[in-house]
Amino acid sequence: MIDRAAAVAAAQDALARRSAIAFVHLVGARGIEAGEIGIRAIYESGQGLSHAVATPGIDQALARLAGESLASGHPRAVNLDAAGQPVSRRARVYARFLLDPIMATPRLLIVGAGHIAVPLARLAAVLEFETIVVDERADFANRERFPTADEVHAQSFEEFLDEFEVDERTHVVLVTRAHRFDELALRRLLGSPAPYIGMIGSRRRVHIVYGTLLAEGYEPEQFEKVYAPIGLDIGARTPAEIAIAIAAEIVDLRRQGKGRRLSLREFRPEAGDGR
Amino acid sequence: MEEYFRQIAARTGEGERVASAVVVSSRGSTPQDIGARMLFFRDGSTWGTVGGGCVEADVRAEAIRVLADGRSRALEIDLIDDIKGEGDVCGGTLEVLLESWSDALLISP
Repeated sequence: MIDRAAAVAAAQDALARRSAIAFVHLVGARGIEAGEIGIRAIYESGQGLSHAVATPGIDQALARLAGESLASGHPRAVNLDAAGQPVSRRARVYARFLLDPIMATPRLLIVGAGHIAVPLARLAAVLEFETIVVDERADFANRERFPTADEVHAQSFEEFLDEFEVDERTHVVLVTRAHRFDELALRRLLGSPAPYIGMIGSRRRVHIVYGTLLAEGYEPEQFEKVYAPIGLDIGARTPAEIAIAIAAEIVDLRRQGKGRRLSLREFRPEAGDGR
Repeated sequence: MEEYFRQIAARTGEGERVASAVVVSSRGSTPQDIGARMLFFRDGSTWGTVGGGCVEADVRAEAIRVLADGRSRALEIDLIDDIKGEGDVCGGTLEVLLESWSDALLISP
């Protein structure tokens, strides 16, 4: 039987380490004796379930599904029969579970403190990202320009990136003032677990950077998380608009969106409607 | 997420019982975010949201029962599509898991 105070402590501990665990909750059961509703186990990758929950088949399935839920970052409800097979809610026998990933606050690391970084840092705060800004120019990387940022570092890009630990919750935006800085930042980020590395620049500038790095021996597969040119295509021109295009791309990625309009042309109201 | 657990730990650490609500699933015209969460405290204050006016009254009523008896439970809410009536514009079904949190050493069952 899991101790609830210990579960809360485990969650806090994992979050403090910026590591992730999943809570396994029983939501209900039908035709199976599955015990108390509520949290029943904690899943940690490499460790499996902290407590036995139901049948061996169910526990095996829960460990696998909790791992998937952690990998995707999305909670998931599932009905399992006694053998651990997923079944529909119309089945006669099942236990219903919620797999709930407990993950650290997502971060946005903005490399380059220029005119796009300013509105982007503000949007990141609104989206509840922990925001970190770095630029070697102290007259750009300062508190006055980034009042909502969690950290502002006036430090060279190399020096900062060599120390800073980019984890799987750290989204990175490269908006430096020259492609040689994007290049040196990208070199340090290609092996990182960052889910998003957006890089500003024209197609030409992007091609130059890619070309240089490929010539140095980086493999094309390593660019899988690189999004360049950056942002959703909303026709952005001003720094604020470009920041919105970048923020929208990050939301789109996190939520597995489709990046298109929701309005339905066939539902446009016409004169005569409503009579 | 950090703040959610900090709130639970702080309140239960003082011997208080806390009720949490987490969205398990939703169907219909007002899809809620699965995993959206809200906390209910003894003094009537709350933290977070499970989706606003349409559902929060129902969830709060159940959370008050959880705070009283300490028993976790699931709640399914039918959101009547009230677009022609006077209520909020909602429709569909929302499934919420309500849980009781307390420090076993500080609270007697």
